[in-house]
Amino acid sequence: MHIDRYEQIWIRISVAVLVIFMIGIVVAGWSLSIQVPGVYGRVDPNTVTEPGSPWAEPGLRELAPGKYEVYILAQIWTFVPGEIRVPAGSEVTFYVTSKDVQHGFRIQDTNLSFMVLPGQISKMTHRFEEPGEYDFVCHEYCGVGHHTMAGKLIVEEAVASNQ
Amino acid sequence: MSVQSIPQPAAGADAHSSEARFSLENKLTGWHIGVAMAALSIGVTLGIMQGFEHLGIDLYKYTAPAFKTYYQGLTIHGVLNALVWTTFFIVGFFTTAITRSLDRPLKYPWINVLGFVLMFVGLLMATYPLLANLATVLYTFYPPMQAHWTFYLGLTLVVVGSWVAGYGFYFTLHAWRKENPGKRTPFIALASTITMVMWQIATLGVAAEILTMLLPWSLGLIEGTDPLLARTYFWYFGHPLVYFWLLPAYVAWYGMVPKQAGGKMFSDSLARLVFWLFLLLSTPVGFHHQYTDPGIPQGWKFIHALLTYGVAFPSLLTAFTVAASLEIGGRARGGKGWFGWIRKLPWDNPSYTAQNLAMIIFAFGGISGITNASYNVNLAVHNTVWIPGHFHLTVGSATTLTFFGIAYWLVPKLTGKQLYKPKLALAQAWTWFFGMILFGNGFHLLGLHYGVPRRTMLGAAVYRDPAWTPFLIEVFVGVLFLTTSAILFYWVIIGTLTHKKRLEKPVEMPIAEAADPTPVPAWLDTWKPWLYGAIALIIIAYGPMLYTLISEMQLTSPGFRVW
Amino acid sequence: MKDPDTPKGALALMLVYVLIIIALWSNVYFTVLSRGATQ
Repeated sequence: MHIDRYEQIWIRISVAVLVIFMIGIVVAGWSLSIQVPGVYGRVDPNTVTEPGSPWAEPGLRELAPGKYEVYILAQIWTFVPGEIRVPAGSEVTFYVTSKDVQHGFRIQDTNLSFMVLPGQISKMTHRFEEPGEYDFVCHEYCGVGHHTMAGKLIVEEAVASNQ
Repeated sequence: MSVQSIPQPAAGADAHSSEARFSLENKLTGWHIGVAMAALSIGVTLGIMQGFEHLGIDLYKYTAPAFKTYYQGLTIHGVLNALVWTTFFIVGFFTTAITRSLDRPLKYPWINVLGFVLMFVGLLMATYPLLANLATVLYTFYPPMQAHWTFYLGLTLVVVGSWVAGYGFYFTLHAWRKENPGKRTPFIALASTITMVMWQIATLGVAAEILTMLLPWSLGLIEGTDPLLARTYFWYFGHPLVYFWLLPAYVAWYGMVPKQAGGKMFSDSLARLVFWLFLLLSTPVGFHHQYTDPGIPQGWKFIHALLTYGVAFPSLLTAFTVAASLEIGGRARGGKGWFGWIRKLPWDNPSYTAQNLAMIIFAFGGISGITNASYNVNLAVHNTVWIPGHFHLTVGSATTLTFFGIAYWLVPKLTGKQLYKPKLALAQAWTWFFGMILFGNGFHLLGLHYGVPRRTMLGAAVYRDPAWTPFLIEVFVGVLFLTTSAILFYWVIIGTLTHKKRLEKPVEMPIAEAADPTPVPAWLDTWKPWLYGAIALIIIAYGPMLYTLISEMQLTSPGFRVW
Repeated sequence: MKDPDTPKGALALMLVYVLIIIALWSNVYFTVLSRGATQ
């Protein structure tokens, strides 16, 4: 099959650009740890708030100084907890599930953006360096109250005595 | 809409008897695109209401008996625009494209009539729950939101009807091949048929989702459902769905527009290769719609990202090949130098202009598409309004504006009437172009910089931020342009349908000749290797995860009516 | 009719296009990088 000379140049350029982008993706993913969610675990959405489940009492737990985990329950049309406070510099790991329909979860100005499915656990981590108020919202349609489903994560100035 | 063969003296006689051979095909095409355009008119109206809502102006209280909420409107907007306008127009367009390209009527016309009946009955069936607010689940209908069973069954019938239309096309192509041994399949017929085969393979996913999960569940035959498995079936279908929307535009851009520009197909071989590559690569990529899903491993998501970059390649090839084909035309019309040929293209022809503007918009839609496909880069834009920004440039422009351009020769062809007020049609194309640029730019920036969520009643959102306002105004101005454009489109079409002026000669479907008349190599005209390759890639890319998800399926989610 | 084997206009357009692709994609890429690690 004859391919025009100029078209061959374009093919080479296109492939090169796609390859370079792919290298960028791999660097970001495997070297800089900017990764998409993977498989973490399953739950039964019908019993996920019963005693024994981390979502029976959703909320923030400190694992070590500056290291937290937060279990968030998404439900029509709130997140529980709806407000989270951490000191600046904290690394927070989020474990989110839904007890009813599909929801989404996204924290402003971060790469934390993922689907929340009943029966599945979504896990993602972020280090909050800058003090401020970060809105989090549901970004998957979940019914007529979808646009009211939001919360706040407040990053407080680190207190000197914690050093 | 039937062509009336008015006996004409001299020059027109052969062309008219040729049209008479295709009178059933013309009727079928007319029914399909008629339904498509009717659906779009409602879908577009809802889009306008959405634009107002984002600025805080709620028009839904005035439309209450029909459209009660923003979300009901959004569901209908998606279903009518992304599923009905597209599927019906495509099947209608292909009915003409394939038969004229082969210069052969349908082999078993009753099959294609049956296909239309199934599609139409399915549409009517789905209309009931949509209007009755029993299916406010958006066009992706993710469980465990649960619609009324008539919604799922109605959509199933539309899809099955499109399969049946495809079977009618395959029999026709097969008959042509037997009647023309040793000849290469004409490009337009081949590319259209490849598109239908890709669609057949793609829709198996949504068929599995509906028939094995959602329909029995909504009928109470199964107690629960597994949302991740349902999503996976859906997005197996959802990505090739967008190629079902795009490839008919490519059929026109490769096979018809160069003729309209006075040019030729720059490379018949590459054009065919592009379509075979789409058959091969459209489906095994669906996890790129599930990058942020729990329960799907990163490794599989990454493999689908690589395959998605593979399927970006034929589109990049298309950009060059189509531009080169148009350049042939522009230079034939007197264009000189590096870019002089661009000015010499037939910009006074509304059909040409609409399609060329669609190509330009698509160039940008393709860039945001490659961005979406880029694995972790997707995190910046997932479920923000960047996504509808992207797809209004693709299905909303590459596809829709091209279909408008096609209509500007197809409707005159089917009706035997002159196109009404071509200058209005030109204005329609340009207002759509500017409207989509403003709309798209606003939404892309709102999504990327502010994370504004998609599918959301922004005007009423508790987290609404004044920083969004300038961009929402830009989007709204875009919507005003699009509204004007839509009005112009229907004005021209209705004007054409009711036009007093008949054409002396029927419109011929534009068919571009190849610049190089040498027959393409046989491997570009042979189905089996590509088909087997497509199936093999799907088994590799989807087999293991589907096996895992199905064997670990937990039907724990009951249905929810959340509206 | 001009020799179709030298579509220099198409190639020139594509070179402009690829620069736009690189600029826009990189903009999003570096935005993602600036928002930090997720695991």
